[in-house]
Amino acid sequence: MKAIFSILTLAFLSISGKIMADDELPSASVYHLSNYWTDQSGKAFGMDSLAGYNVVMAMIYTSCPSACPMIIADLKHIEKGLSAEELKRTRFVLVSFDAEKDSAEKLLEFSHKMKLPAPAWTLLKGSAADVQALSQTLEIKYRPLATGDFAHSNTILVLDKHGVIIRRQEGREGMEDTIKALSL
Amino acid sequence: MARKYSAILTIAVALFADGATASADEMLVSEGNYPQFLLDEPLTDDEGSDGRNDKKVEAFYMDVFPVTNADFRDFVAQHPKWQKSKIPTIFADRRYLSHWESDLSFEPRLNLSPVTQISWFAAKAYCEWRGGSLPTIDQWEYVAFNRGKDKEAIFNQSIDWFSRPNPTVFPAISDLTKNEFGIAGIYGVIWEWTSDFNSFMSPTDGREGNGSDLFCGGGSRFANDKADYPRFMRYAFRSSLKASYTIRNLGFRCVRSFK
Repeated sequence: MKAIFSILTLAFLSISGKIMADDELPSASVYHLSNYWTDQSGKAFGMDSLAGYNVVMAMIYTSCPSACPMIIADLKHIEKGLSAEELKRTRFVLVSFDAEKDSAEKLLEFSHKMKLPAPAWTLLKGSAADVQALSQTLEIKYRPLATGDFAHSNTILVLDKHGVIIRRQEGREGMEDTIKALSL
Repeated sequence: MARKYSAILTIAVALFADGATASADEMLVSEGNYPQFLLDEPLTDDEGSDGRNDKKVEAFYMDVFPVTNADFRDFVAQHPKWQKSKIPTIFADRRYLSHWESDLSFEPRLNLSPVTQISWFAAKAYCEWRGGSLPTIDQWEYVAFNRGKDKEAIFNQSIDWFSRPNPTVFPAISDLTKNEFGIAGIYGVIWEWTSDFNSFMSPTDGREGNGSDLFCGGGSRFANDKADYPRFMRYAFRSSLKASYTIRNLGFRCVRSFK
C-alpha cells in the first residue's frame, strides 16, 4: 500500500513538474525565455528543465583570465556552505558569454580543469542572440573587447524552483546571504 | 521578408489611407567610420580627436522611421503573448503600453506616432518578426553622428528636446525630419532602444587601483569629445535602463543586415 502511494505521489509530482514547466510559470520566471542551449556534454539543454531546483547562475567564458576563476571560487564557497539536503535541491549553472569560441568541448575541458562535475554543475553555450537575451534578463552587463576577452559584471544569481530571481550578488560581498537564499 | 513588408504596408494603407506612408520603409546605411564615445586611454589636453579612435561600421538597412503604434498593433494582433494583458513581468514592467486602452486598441490619433512604453524584449521580438533586429549602439550612434554634418544644429535640437516636457501625443512619423542618411526622427523626438544597451560600463573613476590619477573628471576623462553633451546624455540614459523597463518617451526602430 505504502509503495503504491509513493508511486502515485511520484507520478503526481512528475506531472505537476511538467505542467509547471509549461504554462504555470510565475510571471517573473526567467524560464519564459525561449532560447536554446547546449551543455558541456554536447546535448541540447532547455533551461526550464531546471524547474524544481534552486539554481545558482553566473555568466563566464572559459578563456577568462581573472574574474571568472574568482566567480567559480565564490560559487564553490557557496556550494560548501550548503547541507547535503540543500545540495540535492541545488544546481549550479554557468553560461558562456563567448558564443563564438566556447564549444561544448571547451566547456567540458573547463569543467574538468575547474572540477565542476555533472550533474551538480551545468555549463552552457548558446547563440550570441540568446546569450544577449539571457544577460538582459539576468541584468548582467558585458561587452566583447577587441582582444577576444569580455568586460562583464561579476554577478551571481539565485533562482527559486520556478526560475524567479530571489537573490543577486554583485561582486564578492554578501556570500552568506546567497547561501541563506538557498536554504529556503 | 518582402512579403511581410508588403503585408504590413497593405494593412497600413487600408487602415489609414491618408498619409500612411511606408512605415516599413528602410534605407541602406552605407559603411563608414564614426568617432568612438570612449577611448581606451584619455586624450591629453593638446590632443584633438584626429580619427585615430574612429570605429568602422559595416553597411546595414535601417528603418527610416521609428516603429509606430499601428505597426506594433499588427504585431501583437498576430502574437498575443506580447499583448499587455498577457506579457510576463520578466519581459515588461507594469506600464507596458499603458497609453493603449486595451490589448489591441488606442486612440486613433496615436496611429502614426512612434510607439513608446515598450520594453527591450518586446521591441526585439517585433524586429525579429520583421526579419531584422534592434540596432547595436554602434549602428545607432553611427547614424546619429550623421557623417559629422550639421553638428551644431543637431546639438541644439537635442538640447532643446532635453528641456521640453513630453507631448501628450508624439508627432506623426511623416512629420519627422530626415538626416544625412535619410533616417527620420533620430534627434529630438524619443529615445530609442539598442540591442546591446547593457554593454556600456563606465570606466573606473580612478579612486581605486593606482589612485594617483585625478578622479574629478570621472568618465569624461575618457570621452572622445567632452563637449558632446547629447551623447553623454544618451550613454547615461542607456546605462540606466533594464530590459523590462518601459518609458514614456522610449521607442525603437529596427535594422536588417546587408549581405
